[in-house]
Amino acid sequence: MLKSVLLAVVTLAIAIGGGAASVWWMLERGLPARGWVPHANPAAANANPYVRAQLSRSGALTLGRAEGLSFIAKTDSTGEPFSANCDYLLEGPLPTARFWTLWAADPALNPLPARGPRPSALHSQQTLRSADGGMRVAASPRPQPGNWLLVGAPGPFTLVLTLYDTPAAGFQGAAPPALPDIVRTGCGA
Amino acid sequence: MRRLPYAILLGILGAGIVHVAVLLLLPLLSQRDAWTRFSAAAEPFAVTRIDAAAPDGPVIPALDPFFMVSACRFDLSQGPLVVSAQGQAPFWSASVIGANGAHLFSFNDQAREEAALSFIVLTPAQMAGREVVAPPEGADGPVETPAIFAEVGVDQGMVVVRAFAPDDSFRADASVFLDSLNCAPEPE
Repeated sequence: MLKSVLLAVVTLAIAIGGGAASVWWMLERGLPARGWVPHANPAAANANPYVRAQLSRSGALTLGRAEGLSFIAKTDSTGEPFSANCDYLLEGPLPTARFWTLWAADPALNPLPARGPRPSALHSQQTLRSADGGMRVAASPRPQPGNWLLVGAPGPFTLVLTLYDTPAAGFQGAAPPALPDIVRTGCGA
Repeated sequence: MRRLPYAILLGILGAGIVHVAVLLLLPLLSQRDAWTRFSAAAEPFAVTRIDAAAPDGPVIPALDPFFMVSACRFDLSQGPLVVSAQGQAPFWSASVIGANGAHLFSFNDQAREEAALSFIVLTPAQMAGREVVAPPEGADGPVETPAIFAEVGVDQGMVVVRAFAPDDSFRADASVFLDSLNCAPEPE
């Protein structure tokens, strides 16, 4: 009798503990991703349940279709996590949009604090435009020629790219639009 | 003790079921989602800043630092909601979001010729009882432009209005735009 109770307790402990712990682990560790990940409507019928759960825990709001579309990158294009000591070059095509913003955030997606008067954020109306209509931005803690996104915080960071008033916001789980590559160009002292 | 491996196997199977159940229930039960956070910060129909300029810090995380954002929540069981704002933001957008986080309706400053934001949120039943009247031809005086109607299938939700401030010199204009934002049930 006691043995049966004990076995039942073991079974329940594994089921409840293991089930809860595995969800927590999946959400804390984050989903495996490389480069830009759309930060889109969580209530879409085809939304990944992990993405929905993650959004409901973060409390973030996504953008509506007529507003725009955000992308979040925690790694460069090879899947290597961002390091605050390294220089990155964001270069490549952008979907048509009225304008875009690019900002650096901490892992909880709060914007990084400004260094003096210079925020860790850029938008397309203050950057040099590439002749091909794409984007070319250097993200680094050190000043860079051309468009420079200051990333000054120690530790890992996140990049958020948002296209405002863009037809690309209509994409529903189909192939996401082409976005700039994120290439690590070096790591300084 | 031959039954121990069986109990462990059953436990792992149960863990899979619990995993799926927790995952699917999280969005419904979360106390940290945007709707719960905003409901705690603002009374219904009260227009509240939710970006970093809010009195107690940002209500909603991960908002674009180039944007100033205000929101109000509504309950359509008290009648249709009228939302309006006037001003000179270089770009603004508005979105209606249900209590479950679903985007129901959104538009931006290019939806209309005039710069002002003005729309009505209502349920299909409230819309059905409403006759959309075209202005009579040759009418004197300024022709009243018909409103934008956002028909939504829920009673409770929030309206989020974002105003773009490309640099600090635009913040005053964007702020005036958001300060003029008004959310109120339609007068009978």
